Amino acid sequence: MCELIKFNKETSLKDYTLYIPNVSIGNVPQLTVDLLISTYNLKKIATVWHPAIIPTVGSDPFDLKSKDVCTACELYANEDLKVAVVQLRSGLERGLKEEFLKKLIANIKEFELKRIVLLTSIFAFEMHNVNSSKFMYISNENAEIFKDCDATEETNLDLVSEGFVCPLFTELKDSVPCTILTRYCYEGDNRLDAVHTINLLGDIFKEFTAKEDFKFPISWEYLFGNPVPIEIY
Amino acid sequence: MNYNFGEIVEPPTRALIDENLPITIDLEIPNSLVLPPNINTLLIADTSYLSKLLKLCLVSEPMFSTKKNELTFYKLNDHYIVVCKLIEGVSIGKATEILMPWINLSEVVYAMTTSPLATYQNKSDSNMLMLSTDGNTCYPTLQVPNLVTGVTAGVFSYAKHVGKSCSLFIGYIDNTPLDSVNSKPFVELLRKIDLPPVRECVLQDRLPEHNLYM
Repeated sequence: MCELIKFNKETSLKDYTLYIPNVSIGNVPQLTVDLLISTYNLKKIATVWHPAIIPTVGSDPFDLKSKDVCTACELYANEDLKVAVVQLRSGLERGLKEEFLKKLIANIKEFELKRIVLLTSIFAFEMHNVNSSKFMYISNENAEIFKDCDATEETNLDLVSEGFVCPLFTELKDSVPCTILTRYCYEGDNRLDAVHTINLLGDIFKEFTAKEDFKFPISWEYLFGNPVPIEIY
Repeated sequence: MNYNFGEIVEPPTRALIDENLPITIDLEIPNSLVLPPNINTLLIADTSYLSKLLKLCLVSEPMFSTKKNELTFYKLNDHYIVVCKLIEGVSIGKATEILMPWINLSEVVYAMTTSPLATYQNKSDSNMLMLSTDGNTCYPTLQVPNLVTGVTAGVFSYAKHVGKSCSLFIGYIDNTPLDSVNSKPFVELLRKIDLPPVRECVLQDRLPEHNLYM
């Protein structure tokens, strides 16, 4: 079996913040990561391959002129902001998921990260208090950093049981500061959920400043399919 | 009438949440599957359309295949052709793992697949598009946001990951039966990758399956 993460050059992620999206409702975490990459100019630094990752390939979703290709799971980083993200463009095969997560956890522990943020989303009808924030977090970080942010603290991991955030959080929280950030949302046009998530991440971790003009990736142009063909009229 | 009265029905989601995916089944590899000493060109093709086309004009007797013919291996001089016909539930990742040593040994790897024309998003002047790990541009590049999935995507991703030269060709086709007209772009592609057809792909007459009309 080949190595899980292949860097395109010698790279150290020491003291970086790593964002990992969970495949969840509205694909909000994946949209958030896409928006982070295009707005804050993160560059691809590694490809991730494992038989558990359902394969998808395509052209570079961030640069029309690029001859590069994109695969199902890649690692992007910005050296100045010391931010790295994993982008997962498809799901994980159920029978092989555990093996993949074990390897991923082993690799992540070697990175000597400053913190890990696991992004996920759940249906808005799961909110118990409709007047509370649309964000919820579970974290082992110092509570001070969440003091002024618009998010509700939780401790019950069962609330975010879908996907792989629970096993990742459980295994990694003893080695590195770890946060699960959850967005309550519905399926639909979830681009605004991604924008709100990034703004909140900026408020909490102060790694990037909030933007008024986000740079949407070119791949979002056809988020809901082709325009209506004129021939039908 | 609502037959779900009293039952909690969760709304669907487009996210590929793994709880909804079936547990995948492994491929049974035959003992006769032996890696050759060297491979000049490795071609991996999937979809039933390409399977029919390759059997019609290029390959004949298979070398070996997995138990339910999910992967069938053919030899043509120093070139090897693998035709994939994965049944539902078979792990694409496991199928790619079987092909890994073949990809590592090959000098050049090609992958071919087809997709319905109606699924193409964005504009394109050509129905034959490609992706390449090393900047090969003999056909126009597949535009965003179109993605390729399946075994050919698995092979391409693996080749990209290990730094192997690989080109993936995607033919967007109408849902019509295979004939000598609509197979021309694929026959031309085979010639371009130095795998010229050994037999002609002729127009097949289709007799009606019913006797209602002549």
